[in-house]
Amino acid sequence: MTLRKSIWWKVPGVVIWMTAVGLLATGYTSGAGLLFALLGVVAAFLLAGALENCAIRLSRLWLAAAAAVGLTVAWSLFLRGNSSVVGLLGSEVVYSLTEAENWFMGVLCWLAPLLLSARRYSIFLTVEAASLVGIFASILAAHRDGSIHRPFFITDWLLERNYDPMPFFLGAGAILGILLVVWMLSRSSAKRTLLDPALLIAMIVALFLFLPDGKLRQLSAFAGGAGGSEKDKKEQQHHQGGQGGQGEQQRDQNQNQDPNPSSGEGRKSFPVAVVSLHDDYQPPYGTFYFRQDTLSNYNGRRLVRDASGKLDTDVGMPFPAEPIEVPLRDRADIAPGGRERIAHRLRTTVALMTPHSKPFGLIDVSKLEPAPNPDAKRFERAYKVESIVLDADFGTLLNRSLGSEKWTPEMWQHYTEVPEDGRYRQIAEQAKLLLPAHLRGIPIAQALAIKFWMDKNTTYNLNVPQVDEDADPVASFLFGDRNGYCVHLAHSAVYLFRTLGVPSRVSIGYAVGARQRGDGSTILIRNGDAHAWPEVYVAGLGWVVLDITPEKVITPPQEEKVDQDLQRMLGEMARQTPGSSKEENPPAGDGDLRKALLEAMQGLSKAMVPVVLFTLLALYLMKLWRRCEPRFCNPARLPVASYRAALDSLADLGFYRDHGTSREAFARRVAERAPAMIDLTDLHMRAALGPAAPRVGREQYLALSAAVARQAGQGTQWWRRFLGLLHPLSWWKVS
Amino acid sequence: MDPSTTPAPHPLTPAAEVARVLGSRLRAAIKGRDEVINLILTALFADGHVLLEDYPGSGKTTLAKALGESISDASGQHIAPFRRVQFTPDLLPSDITGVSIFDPPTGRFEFRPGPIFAHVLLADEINRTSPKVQSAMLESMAEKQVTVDNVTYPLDQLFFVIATQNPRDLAGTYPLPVAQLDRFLFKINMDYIDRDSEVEVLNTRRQRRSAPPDRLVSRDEVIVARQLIEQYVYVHPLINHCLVDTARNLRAHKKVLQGLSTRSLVLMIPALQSMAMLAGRDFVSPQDIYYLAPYVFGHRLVIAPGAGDMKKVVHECLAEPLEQLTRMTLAGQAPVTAPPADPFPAGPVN
Repeated sequence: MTLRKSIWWKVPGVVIWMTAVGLLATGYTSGAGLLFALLGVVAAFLLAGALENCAIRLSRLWLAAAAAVGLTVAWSLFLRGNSSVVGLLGSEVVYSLTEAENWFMGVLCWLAPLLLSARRYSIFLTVEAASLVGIFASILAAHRDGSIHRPFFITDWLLERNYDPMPFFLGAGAILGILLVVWMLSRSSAKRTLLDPALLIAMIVALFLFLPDGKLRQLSAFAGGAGGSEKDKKEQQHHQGGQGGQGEQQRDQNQNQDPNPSSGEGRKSFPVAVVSLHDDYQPPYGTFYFRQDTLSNYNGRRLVRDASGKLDTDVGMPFPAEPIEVPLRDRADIAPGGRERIAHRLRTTVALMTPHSKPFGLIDVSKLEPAPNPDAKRFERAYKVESIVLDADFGTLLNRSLGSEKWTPEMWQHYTEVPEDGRYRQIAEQAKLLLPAHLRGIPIAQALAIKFWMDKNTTYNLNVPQVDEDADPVASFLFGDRNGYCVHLAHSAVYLFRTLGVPSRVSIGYAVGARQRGDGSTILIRNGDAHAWPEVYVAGLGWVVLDITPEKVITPPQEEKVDQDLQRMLGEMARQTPGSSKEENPPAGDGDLRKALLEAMQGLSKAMVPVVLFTLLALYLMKLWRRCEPRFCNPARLPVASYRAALDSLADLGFYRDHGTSREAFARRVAERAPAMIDLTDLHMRAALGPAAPRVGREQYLALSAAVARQAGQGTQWWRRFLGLLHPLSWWKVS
Repeated sequence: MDPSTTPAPHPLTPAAEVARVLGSRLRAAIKGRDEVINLILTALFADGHVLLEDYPGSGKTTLAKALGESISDASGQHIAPFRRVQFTPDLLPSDITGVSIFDPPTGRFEFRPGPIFAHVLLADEINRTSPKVQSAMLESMAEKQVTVDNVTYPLDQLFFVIATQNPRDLAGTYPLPVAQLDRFLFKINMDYIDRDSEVEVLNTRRQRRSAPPDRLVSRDEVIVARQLIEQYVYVHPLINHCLVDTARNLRAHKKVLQGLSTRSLVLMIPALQSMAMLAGRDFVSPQDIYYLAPYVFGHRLVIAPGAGDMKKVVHECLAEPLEQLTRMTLAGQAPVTAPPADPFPAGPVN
């Protein structure tokens, strides 16, 4: 550039990158993380400017950046896992702090070396452009397959008008890609080769093909989150029955419905279902519980689902094709107009957005009815649920007995069976001491005492180290550091309840805070709402939730607020009856078009493989031929062929004659490494511009050409020579 | 090469020998001026003249004198090897060309040759004298003859002028117009020599004055060398293409007010040949063009005010044709015209 570079030239780049990084960060992190990600962009540009004139090896720079990122991640993992630090600063502060440093260092350590590399090698300009495209594409790809996610405003606008957002996003992405290619091509025209745009296009195609499944998001959750996969595994182990087909079945179920009860942190949340209340209702315990399954059978190692089919009949129904009455053994006290209403019937409609193997409903489900799917593009299926919901606070139930008189001794045994471990009794007795003396004999009070004891003495923490396969995770939780999440809490509580003879079980499903509902009649269930909780059987009422809420929380469960507009909008969509709206009928080929496009792209990419391989082969053959030509060519061509072979071998090592440099000057430049080049150049020039071809035999040409290759290679590291040899296009720029 | 047959001597060998002797004598006399020496020898063999733009005391006279004194005259004519004329505003043409004087015993006018009758003439501060003298001087340079009293006297065939002018101190001068500058093959801007050379100048002051190198070069040898160079240094037709393309580029350049004349291109050819010979080659290479172009073209161009460096403009216009020429060699295409039958065996000129 002839213009003197001022700092203002960098402003457009900073703005573009800040936009991209900002958009990316809003989807993944908190306010502090976002702010520091933006600061990271500025810092990266400043750092790149400061280091611009330093002679740093790019490889070292990248290594240093990788090391810095590794250290930062390790440090923040340490901070998050360290209970004393968390206790001192509070989990919120630690979370913001670690997010901020992770994002700042992440952006800085990626962008600064990238910018510096792009100044030196044009190929990194392509990488820079491609990573910009990638960021924008990954943001837009969140909308893939119609899933509703950030940025809300775009989808909302389109969905309200009943358009499929997909073609818009693809179009926007395509335009963006084209703009980036044009911008990149215009940026440094002098040294641009055809390779760079080709590479960029290949990268964009790869993005297009691989992003739809949200792989990037999963990847980032896997790498940056709180060890999501490990947790999944443990949970499966935890939920899963020990033996046989039952375990298999359950695993399937787990995979299908993603009941990951604590996946709120690492993974991005997405809507799972929409529940519309037909009547207003506030649960007495402040949470809507949706039961899907329940574990009550202690098989000697852990709690599993009852396989007999005689117990726990309030779960495990199939999706209703016709109304299903759920047999509830005890609900005698439903008094529609009574003064002391304990429970009443409530009707709800559930519209599933992700596949589930079994229906779930607001506790306690008394009836399931089929419902038409309001929007087949958006929802998996819908069904109506009639529930008998509790109005009474748990405290008012103190006078009730536990269990049912109708229960057989086997059933009592089933619901109170516990591991033979004296430590449970020890803790249970200890908990009982919390009660005033006159209450200690009341069974419900005892259960409450255990809840209070656990509230006080356990810590909610998602980052629990994995225990041995053989060890009982519940025992290692309860008799260990008592750090755990809902699964641990629920199982421990049930074991303690049962120790005191309280019939109880663990139920699995979703729990949504009543506040999340806002003032509407729609409850949006997200994947992060998955939950497991203990239940006790109260005579005349049936299974009643007695959830544990630890006072100490290290990794808070997901606290992301539900977007009220989204919730309301989804609720409206769920309430629509199919065909009620005129715009409803989607253009038939819409989804197929995308699928066809994708298939075409995939087919194209498959077809590209042989093309690419063939091209590579042709390039290598060309390279080989140019190198061997002096051995076979016509003697008249020797001066050209041998000189070109020498030029090729120099090009392998990165020596190219610059535009406008004479051959003699180039020979003098490389003479330090390859003195034979001077003689070879002289022969070549003499043959080309001299009066007659020099009378020199083939051996001498070959010897000189080989000498150049040998001499140039001698001072070079082996890996550089190897890379040069591998480069299929090193001869391209030889002139 | 076949070792059994001793290679016949290259036809350029005598020319190379002359160049070597002159070069070594000049380099012994003047330190740190190898580039200028090379250019002056080039001009000498190309039958051109040189304009040095220089400050006083930079060794011009020493250089010219050493050159003149290196050439002995065996022809018997009384031609001085070296003359120096200090040009002043009151100089008259006859002061340099010579005058006819009445000889009483014979009763006839006899021509007394002026200082211009020399092998090497140093025309010091040529821009200080009046246009009248300048024109007389320049006619003699172009035509190698002087006319006094309507009688034309030929100058020696070797006649070689080194003119100087001071780039500063321009008050009271008559700057040479472009048409007259065209008579000079090269215009060389000299700069101060580097530190080591300057120290060496001081160190070798005594030896240089007292002990001139032994062998001299005869005038005839120089003339023969000129002919050999013209005959045996091959100019590929592509070189001519390159020169013409460069000239066209220069004429089209928006910062160039007046472009190159065709004559300057014609003059360029012998200069390139001489340069190639000095570099030990028997053919002209693109790098000769690159090197000589600023010296040959620079003073023939009129560049727009404020256009900056002339050398840069020349190289700008040269870049494309030269690159084309360079790439041509790898294309392996046949020469545009068939080369002459191999007049001498291969092998670099020593």
